[in-house]
Amino acid sequence: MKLLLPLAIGVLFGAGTYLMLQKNILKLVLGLSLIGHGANVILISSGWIGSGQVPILGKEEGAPFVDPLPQALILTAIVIGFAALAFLLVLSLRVYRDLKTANIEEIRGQRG
Amino acid sequence: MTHLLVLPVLIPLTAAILLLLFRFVPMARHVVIVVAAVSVFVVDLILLSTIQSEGIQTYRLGGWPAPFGIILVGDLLSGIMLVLASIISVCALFYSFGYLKEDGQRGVFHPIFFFLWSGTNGTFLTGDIFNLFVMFEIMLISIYSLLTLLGDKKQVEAGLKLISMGLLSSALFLAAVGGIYAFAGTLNMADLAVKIKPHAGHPLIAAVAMMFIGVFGLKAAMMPLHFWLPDVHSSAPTPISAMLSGILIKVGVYAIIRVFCLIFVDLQETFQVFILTLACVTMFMGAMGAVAQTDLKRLLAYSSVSQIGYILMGVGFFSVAGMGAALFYIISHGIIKAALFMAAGILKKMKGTTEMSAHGNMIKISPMYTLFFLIAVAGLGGIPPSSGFFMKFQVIKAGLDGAFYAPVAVALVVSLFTLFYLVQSWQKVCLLEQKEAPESGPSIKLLIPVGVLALLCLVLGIAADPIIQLTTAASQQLFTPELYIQAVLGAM
Repeated sequence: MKLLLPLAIGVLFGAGTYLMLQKNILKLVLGLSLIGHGANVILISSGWIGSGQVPILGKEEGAPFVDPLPQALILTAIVIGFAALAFLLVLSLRVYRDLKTANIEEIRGQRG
Repeated sequence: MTHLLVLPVLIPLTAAILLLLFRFVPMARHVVIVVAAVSVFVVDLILLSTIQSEGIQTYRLGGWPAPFGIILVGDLLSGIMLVLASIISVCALFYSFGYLKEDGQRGVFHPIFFFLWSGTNGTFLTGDIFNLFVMFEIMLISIYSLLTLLGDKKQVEAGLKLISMGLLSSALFLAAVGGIYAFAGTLNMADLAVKIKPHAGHPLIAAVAMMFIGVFGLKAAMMPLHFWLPDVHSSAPTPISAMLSGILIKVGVYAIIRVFCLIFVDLQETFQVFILTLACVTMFMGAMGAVAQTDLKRLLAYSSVSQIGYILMGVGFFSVAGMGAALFYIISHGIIKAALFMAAGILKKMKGTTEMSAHGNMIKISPMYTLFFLIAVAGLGGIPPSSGFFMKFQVIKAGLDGAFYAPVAVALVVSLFTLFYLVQSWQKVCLLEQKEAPESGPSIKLLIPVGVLALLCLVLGIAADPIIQLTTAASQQLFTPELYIQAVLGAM
């Protein structure tokens, strides 16, 4: 786990960056969402990596507990990220309908 | 414990929800807007005077004690930013009544505007780093929808740019919060300051500090990260342009000040050269961009980038005088730039474009407009009777006192360019003859907020002394972070 999680974060960020550099607008959206997930994994890994007890009082004494706070934090972060991403998707759809193209360079060319 | 501190967040939030409920009842909406705007303004003023007389105020949300629960903190910096935000918001609200058509636009615009105001006030008041993230997001999501509300092609394109950069910066912010939480095990900013103090040299802390500069620099349009600003600020509906340039880019600067004067106090010297260099580049490149523009709103947007450079320079000196100068600059620039954007919006209303070549002869059409525009131009250019003189003078004096000669030289050269492009745009719009006269002059509803802001700029220049004392006191408070920590953790 100690090696797997950083690797997963690296892959998420790498794939996200790669997708963001593509010309299709949908790939940009997907790339941004992957990077968002990467950030969430970083946040949750700040609580505990490895084997920890469930953070419920009175279950078992002595063993290390997982910090529950980052789990609460990423719930908030996921909800916020979801809202922003939904808005971005709707906006992309709007751009596609208005300009009849999903190519970012063509969209940029439309500016007067 | 009084509930004064939570009101600047709570009142706009309640107003926004009420406005959504009364979306189809114009009369009720107007009452809610006026009552909410006036009461937030009054509360902000009371709050500032309370902080001035009684020191730093704290408020425990839900009654949870300091390092565990979310805490709201009002120090002089927050107080000043709140009052500035409410001045500009009230003017932008008033302006929006003349600017937006009645049919449905206002019914959607105003609730989101109040969400935006609530989020902005929240960022200024919160004492918790994750809560700062949440407040930032409330603010950003409101900006996304306000920007794309009218559905112009330009606006939708700028919206795509803004949302992509917003999502990227939130991811970076979360990663930075994760890093700092893994290190210190707390999210309360005062508690973080205490926990990090003994480990100031740790490489993870420097990495996190760098990430915060990236996140907040993106919001403040610091140079390599400024690419989104000109499109967004110039294509947004004018009341929102005024809010964006007047207060929302300063939110990024506010966050940089807060983080570096509280959590990363010991890293100030490490990052000083970095921040000063970026400030100079920002200042210079922004001015170069502005000189090349033919569209008034784009010119003003580039000018905002350039002025952010001055503010960052004042911050980068990391001295009491420099920080005080930066705060005065934030106030003065916010008021002047809001006035200028609103003046540009009047042109847009008259002929449907802000291209300067399409306009002219405003001095005959509306002498009042010409006068207000001139005051604002003089303000940003730094001509003495306006507040602009003191804002530039103080930054440069702070630089000379601290023996930072190279940044001061850049600032002086750039201020010449500033004066050049502003006077040129004023002359093009107001003095040059134009064959096609517009059908009607500027409407009085739109002129009043511009006039109020221009007047404030003059008042701030003539009676600068109390404001300078206030910003200096705020800056002294920032450089004794023990006061802040004492106020937050001492209340345990």
